[in-house]
Amino acid sequence: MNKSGSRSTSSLPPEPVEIIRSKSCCRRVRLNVGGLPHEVLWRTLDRLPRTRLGRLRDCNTHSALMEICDDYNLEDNEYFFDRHPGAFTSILNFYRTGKLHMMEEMCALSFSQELDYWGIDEIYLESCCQARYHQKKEQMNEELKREADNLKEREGEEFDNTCCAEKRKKLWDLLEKPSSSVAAKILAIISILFIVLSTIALSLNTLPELQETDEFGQTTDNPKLAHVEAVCIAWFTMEYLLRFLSSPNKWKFFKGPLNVIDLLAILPYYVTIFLTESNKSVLQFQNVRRVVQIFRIMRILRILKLARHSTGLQSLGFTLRRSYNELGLLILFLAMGIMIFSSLVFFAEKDEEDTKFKSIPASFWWATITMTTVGYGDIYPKTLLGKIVGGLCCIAGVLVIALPIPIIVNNFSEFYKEQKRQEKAIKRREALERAKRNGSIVSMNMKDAFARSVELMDVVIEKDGESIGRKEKLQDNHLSPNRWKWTPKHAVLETNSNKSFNASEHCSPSKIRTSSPQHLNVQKLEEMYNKMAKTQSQPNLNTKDRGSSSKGSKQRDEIEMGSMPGNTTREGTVDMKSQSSIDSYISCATDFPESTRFSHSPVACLPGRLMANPGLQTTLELEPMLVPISAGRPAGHGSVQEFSSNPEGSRHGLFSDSPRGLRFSNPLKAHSFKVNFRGGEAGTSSSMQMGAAPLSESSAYSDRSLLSPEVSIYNTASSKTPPKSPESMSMTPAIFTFHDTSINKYIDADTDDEDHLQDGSDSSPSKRLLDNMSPKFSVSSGFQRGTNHLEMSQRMLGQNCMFPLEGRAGSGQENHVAQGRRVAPGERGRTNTFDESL
Amino acid sequence: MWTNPRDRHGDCNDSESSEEKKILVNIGGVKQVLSSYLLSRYPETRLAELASCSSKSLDYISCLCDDYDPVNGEFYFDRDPETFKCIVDVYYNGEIHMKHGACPICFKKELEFWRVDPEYLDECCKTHLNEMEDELAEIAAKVKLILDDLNSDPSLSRWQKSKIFLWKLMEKPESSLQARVIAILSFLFILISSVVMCMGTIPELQVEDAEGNPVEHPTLEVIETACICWFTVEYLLRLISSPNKLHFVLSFMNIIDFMAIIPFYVVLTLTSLGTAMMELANVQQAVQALRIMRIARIFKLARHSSGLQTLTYALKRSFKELGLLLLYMGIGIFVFSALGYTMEQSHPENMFSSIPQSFWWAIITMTTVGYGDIYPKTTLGRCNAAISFLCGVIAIALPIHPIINNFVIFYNKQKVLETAAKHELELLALQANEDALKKSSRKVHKTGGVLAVWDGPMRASNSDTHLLLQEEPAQGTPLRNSVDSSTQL
Repeated sequence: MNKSGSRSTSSLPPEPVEIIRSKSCCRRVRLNVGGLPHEVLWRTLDRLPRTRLGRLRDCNTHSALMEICDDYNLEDNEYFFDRHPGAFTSILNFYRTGKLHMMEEMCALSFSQELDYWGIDEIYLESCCQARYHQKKEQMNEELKREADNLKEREGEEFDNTCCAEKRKKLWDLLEKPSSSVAAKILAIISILFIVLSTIALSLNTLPELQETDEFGQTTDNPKLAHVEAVCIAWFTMEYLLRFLSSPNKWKFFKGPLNVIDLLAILPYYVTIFLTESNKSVLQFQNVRRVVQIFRIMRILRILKLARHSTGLQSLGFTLRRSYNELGLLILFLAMGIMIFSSLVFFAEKDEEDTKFKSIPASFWWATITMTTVGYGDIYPKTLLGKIVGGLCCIAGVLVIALPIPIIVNNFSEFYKEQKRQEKAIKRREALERAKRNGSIVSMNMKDAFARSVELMDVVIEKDGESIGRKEKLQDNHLSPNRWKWTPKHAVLETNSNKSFNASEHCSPSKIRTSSPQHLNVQKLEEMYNKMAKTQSQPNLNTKDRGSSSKGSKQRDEIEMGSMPGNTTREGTVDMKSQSSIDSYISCATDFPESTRFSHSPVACLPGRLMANPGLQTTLELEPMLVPISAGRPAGHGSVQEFSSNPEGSRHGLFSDSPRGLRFSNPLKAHSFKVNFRGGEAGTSSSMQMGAAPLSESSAYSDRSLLSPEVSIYNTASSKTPPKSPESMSMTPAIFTFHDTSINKYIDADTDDEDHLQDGSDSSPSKRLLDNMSPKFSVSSGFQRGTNHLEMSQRMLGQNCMFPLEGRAGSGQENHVAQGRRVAPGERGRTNTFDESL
Repeated sequence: MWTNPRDRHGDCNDSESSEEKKILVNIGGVKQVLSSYLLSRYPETRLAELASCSSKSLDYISCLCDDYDPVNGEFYFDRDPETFKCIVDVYYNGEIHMKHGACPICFKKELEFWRVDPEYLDECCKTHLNEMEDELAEIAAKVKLILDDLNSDPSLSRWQKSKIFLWKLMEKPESSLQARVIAILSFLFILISSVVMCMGTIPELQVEDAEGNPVEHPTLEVIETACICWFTVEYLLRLISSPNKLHFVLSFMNIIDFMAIIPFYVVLTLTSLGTAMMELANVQQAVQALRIMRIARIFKLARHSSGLQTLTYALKRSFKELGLLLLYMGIGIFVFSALGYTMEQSHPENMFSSIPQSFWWAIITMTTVGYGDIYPKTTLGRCNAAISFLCGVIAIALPIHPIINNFVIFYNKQKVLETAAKHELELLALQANEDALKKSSRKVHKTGGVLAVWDGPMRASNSDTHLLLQEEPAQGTPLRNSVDSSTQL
């Protein structure tokens, strides 16, 4: 970093003339991608003029260059890109040879992310790698889709619009989520017992010894067993009704396959009672009886109720649904085999005396029994020819059945594995809940991630810097919750702990200036916030509650504060990457270790090391999206709050103890969170809502962005990410508060599970992403934009925000400036003046 | 000049022989020192030529390498350094090992650039490469097939055009709505005729003819005739429209089609003419024998199901394993039937009358079907039976696994091929678009086609598959044509 440092100490961006001269003096260019140096001819890069590297040649101004690369050094003719070096090798090869191949061990998702960044369409991928790439991607999409569905399901569980929502929610949890509490677990077990009991009663009923005859001489149920049956049905009915009443979405509940089964298990009983009671005296009793018999058969359906309590059964159902193609194949094979062999054996056997192969349909039975190797022996061939056919039939049957089954088995095992992982994640999640103080739950926008990945990655990187700026603008709009979280933090920091504030001064001199201007208006926000929260948040309390090590924790706070802006400046420029970079929540989660790595203090270093695990953990937990929204939301608040009032760890703990109070106390926040959760389309509206409170500008921006066609193009073409970035951001604060409060606890609670998860192959993508640099950017840029948003809202502040960073020595300086320009194009003019004033 | 040689080879070279002439190469940013003595081991390679000609003119050097720095004497190559590290091994070890994870096709291209014979690739990596190439060839074949479908040469006569139209209608259900309808109709006819064939044998539905023999119901006969008519028309239309008649007649699916039709006509001729030539009984027997051949029509379903085609393909490919299966079964049957026969001799009510008789028992036991028409009664015989079905399970399970494997591989490959072919077509279309764009806006150089920038031999093969496609004699596809014509501009 020395060489870039030398450049930045001059504090003046080089003149375009210099840049042009340096470019023209050498035929080659050095590209440093993530530390790996490459040397390439300019001519090679010109082959793809519309990609990122192709545009590098045409950039003659400092800002244009900074849009494309992360850093550059004119003396060495070197351009630095903070990207994954492994993927870049294949990408650079594309320039050299015109063939885009993919490293075999490369994760397809991460590779597509890289392609996005470098502005290369994935369609150029060679056929040999394409198949693998697409397969992997489709698989991932499927997974994401399922999670999105899951999320949608959770999302439906909102109890806010009707009366006694609280009770209903509790009831719902009790009945639907056996893992939510001990009582719920007991209820589930009782339910299983009832199912088993009723099935046993159903079977016992048919024993002739236990049956009794009624006045017509017909056998009827044993009265004792009938009582058992009645009790069971009463239980089922009650269960069903309670579920129905407590369900947040009645129609969806009614439609759910498991609930349909429940209904079918109950209904026959009532229909039977109705029929027998209404027709007792009528003559057509026999007919009624027959109908009743049919309904009795339907009682068997209750055994399927067990599916509710068994993951294995559910995955079986899912597998069958998913592999109906293969099942069809199996049936087709069997049908053809039966057809052929039955006709063959018919022709072979038909001249035999008293043969049982009277016709081809009659010998179907024989063929079926033989091909499935059941072999009852009621029909068997007797002639030599028939026996030969029979032998062939046996072998063919074995073959034909065996062939498509592995595919189905594969589907099943895949799904089962996934299910298991989700269960584990739920467990982990509960462990996390127990560690209440860090109720740091990350809301991830699954739907959006899905939508994003479904898109054909059609990266059109325009040369127009302005349009990029606009894209940023769009992102800003989505960032409002972020800002919301950020603002109070600063405020609290200042109002509460002057000591720490002072301490932060020596840590990073710029810090103080960053926060001080915010302090002015953020205070207002903080007041508002406090009013809403209506909680007695004594700032002093927190230092007390923090225990004996109040000083230490404060110091940690400072470190956080110091390190965060540090990250930003360091990686400020990378902002652009986050647009193109990616969908996956996985990558988002892996940020943590990356960002902690940048914290300069030894205290933060220790958590940093530990953090690598929690980061991974969070990922895995997120993936299945089993975080119940009901639980997730309060937890989310927790994180929000904790973040907003960082030093007030204890207060936060208080909050998460009473999630209910929290939910009601700050509805606005709850709302913002919800919106966030809902996804991209709501992103703008959320920003509008948020914007309404402290600033109306953002809404104006969003309006504009909605209107402008360019932005919409971007939306579809390349970056679906913007709405997600705020979330990735919301994750960061969570993790930051993490290590200062009770990391040890957290780790104690979770490392066990996590080790398992790490062992599993599931964790490999996220692991891989650990060394992928890209995710980190989304975090830092998120922060960056967050502040910039602030800056937009508070006009004056924007510059203030940047000046302190200006004072900072090191590589990030210009980056940040450039970043500022890009991020806040609305203030482009002002930033320019800022540049000039320098 | 010789500062920091980054490679270990460079190091050892330095110490080895200092008087040796050395050249400094820079491969995409990674510098390496190579001794020309080592390089000259393979004189046909690019590096060897470079080493030998370093004194010659700059022009010559610059056509060998991408850039030459006369101050440092550094030759710059704009290639992948990672791959080069593997390739340079040939000078030291005489063999090349592919870097793990690298795409073999990509590696092969690099080898071509360095003019290193792919023969130097080690055996383990070569198989990998071959597999990949096979797959590419398959993709290319598939793409070609699809492209051929798109083919509509305007120079053709009307008759030829209609022929092609007919061919598409009959053979490519996905080409148009009508073709799809025809395919579905055909499928239905197959089903109906199969059902009718089965129904015809039910005694209740049969009627007696003049001599008292049961014959098929007249309505069924009518339906049967209608179906056969349809099949015949279908077959004839296909035959007429097929581009290669002999190939058509000899192909497997069409033989089945033929077999499904012909018995009907043979029976028809036999019944009408046969009585004059042969005795009635013989005719009837012949008719009966021919009726069995009607079963062939069930195989016609294979035309409409890719799963069935995969099955046949997998079975064809795993011929050896099938033979193994039969061999195991045969040995098992022979051994256990003989054992069963001998052991059952002591029992008075012996069911195993002879060894060939007990073959049947052995088959039924080994495949775990177990009809129960023949079963052992002595203790020894029962032990033998227990062992025989255990052995049967193993004998079936062992060779069946590779067969299943083959099937699954083909099944999955089918999908992969489909996506790959689709992608290839997309790429072709894109290329055509780009070329058109380039043509229209030739002045603005920068906005030219992305793919149109690799010049020379590179240009001719934008995709590896295209190369294969081009090598094939028939390249007169519309897309290809447009692409080619625009390249020549």
